[in-house]
Amino acid sequence: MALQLALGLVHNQGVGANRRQINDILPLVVIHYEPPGSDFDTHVWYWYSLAGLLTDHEVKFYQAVPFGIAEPDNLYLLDSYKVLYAQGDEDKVGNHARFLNWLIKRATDNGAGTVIYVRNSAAFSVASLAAFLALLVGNVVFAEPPWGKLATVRLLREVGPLVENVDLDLAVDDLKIRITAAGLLFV
Amino acid sequence: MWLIFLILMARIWDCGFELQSATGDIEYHANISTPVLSSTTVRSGARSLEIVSLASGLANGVRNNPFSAATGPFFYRQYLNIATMPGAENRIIYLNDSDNQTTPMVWLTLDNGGVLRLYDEDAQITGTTTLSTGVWYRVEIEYDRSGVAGAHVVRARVDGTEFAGSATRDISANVSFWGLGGNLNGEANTTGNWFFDDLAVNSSAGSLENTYPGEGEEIHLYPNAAGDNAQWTRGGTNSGANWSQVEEFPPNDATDYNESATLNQIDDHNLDATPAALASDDTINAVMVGMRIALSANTGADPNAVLRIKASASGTVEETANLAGNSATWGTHRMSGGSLMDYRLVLYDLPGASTTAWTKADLDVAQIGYRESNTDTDFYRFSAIWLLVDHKPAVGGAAAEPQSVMQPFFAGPIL
Repeated sequence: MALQLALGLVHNQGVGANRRQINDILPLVVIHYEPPGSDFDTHVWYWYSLAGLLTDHEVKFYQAVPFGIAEPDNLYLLDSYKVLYAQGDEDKVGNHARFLNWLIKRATDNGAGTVIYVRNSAAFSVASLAAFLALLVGNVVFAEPPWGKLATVRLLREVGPLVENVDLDLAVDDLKIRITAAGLLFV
Repeated sequence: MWLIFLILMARIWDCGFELQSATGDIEYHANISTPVLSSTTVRSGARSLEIVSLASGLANGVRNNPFSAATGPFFYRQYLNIATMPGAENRIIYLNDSDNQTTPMVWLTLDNGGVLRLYDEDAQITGTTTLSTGVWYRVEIEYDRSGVAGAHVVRARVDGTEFAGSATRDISANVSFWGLGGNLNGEANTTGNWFFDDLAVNSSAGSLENTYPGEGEEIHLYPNAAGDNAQWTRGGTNSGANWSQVEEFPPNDATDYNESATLNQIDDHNLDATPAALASDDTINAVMVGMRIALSANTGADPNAVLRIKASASGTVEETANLAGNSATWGTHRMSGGSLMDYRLVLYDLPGASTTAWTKADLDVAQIGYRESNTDTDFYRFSAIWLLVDHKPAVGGAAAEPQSVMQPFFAGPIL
């Protein structure tokens, strides 16, 4: 079975940067069309992969728009699951840990085995992604490449979500302690 | 028709027969003969599937198609209530790779003494349990062909207790179809009367609903008032409001609907108040947005839409990826062609959240809707939209099963 990936963006940067991170990802999106599978499956299906990632995989995209942030005008060019924080979530701004929690939870709800958070799209590359994906073996459930984070569904199942009473970086520090306490590993 | 590849998410499909149609391709894939719905013997909501008036040699029931030739593991739930036992052993539930009830891979039979048996294509799997009349039983099946031949898993349980199971089976094909009914092996039984309700199927993905579905009651909430947006255009008979174009059950397709060919137009609809049967301390297992959709025509590139859900007016909203299509034929959760009718928007916690569960109070102010996400000259149409709620009464609640089994949050095999 192909590796089920989810790639997420959080639009907590400036207007131009939010727009740019979508534009950085769009060239990597490859769409695949599948012919009807059988006499009872007459649809032509399509799915996405990441250009240049040689591992057999499918990828779905996720975007989070924090409270008070205008939607990037290219938001919908990336076919993605989305959350737009609004009334009642006024604290969901900046580097709130909720964004990564939402991404990991919703992506794994939807079948992802590995979740990719691209925090710095300018530094992101498929080659680097491939290298870090290769490290997610055995008890390694979390990785921190220079451009973001990688998390597995096992992390959510056995360690749980990030704490949300501190910002993302401190929440990740806490998560690493809990990963170790659970007998698992991060890189 | 183009469809984004189906996701084998945790909860894949539910059916409580609450669209109140016994026609195939409305709430479930297809009929086997002419099953009927009951409004008197129901476990939850307003309808159940009734198997009655069996004819000798004629299978009767419904077929569902949650997957397309998949290995699993999958976990199926159906509630069964027997009014009259069959005259002899009778096939009542099956899993199959093809769209018929002949030569299934896994099946359950019920005999005239109420004995339930589990079979696969090679033999009966050791173990039985005996059911009584007039009781709703939660019957669940595990199918897992992800391992090597000889390590396939088939198990069945009633009310959370396994009565037959094996992890050493050799199943010949991947599973697609799930059927329920009577005389499904062409038996000669003409006696027997039983009911099915509150169907659900889970995969092993994710961190919730990744094993047996467990206890659940299913209801539908339909639009009952305008929500935050009403931008689509009313088509067919004009009921006077966008919400009242899409609240019918069964769906009335072209009779009245909303349509759009304008990028980013949105409709959001308020929903019926939750019924008393859903208590304030119930656990909400899953909420699933259902839809009945078509295009005005299938020329050109064709438009897309996305589904939306929010837990309060002006609140945080979640949207799906594109729901693409190019068919003018009405369909449930997809347009014409094919038989996969899986829900496309399923949440286990509040929009924008990761651990905060839905409550009755949230559902009472929730809104569901849709947005035109890509355009061409054709119109995207919604004839019906609903929110299916799978909920579990609190332990000790009036409707709780005697043996409630809590699902551990982080249970399930590692992907």
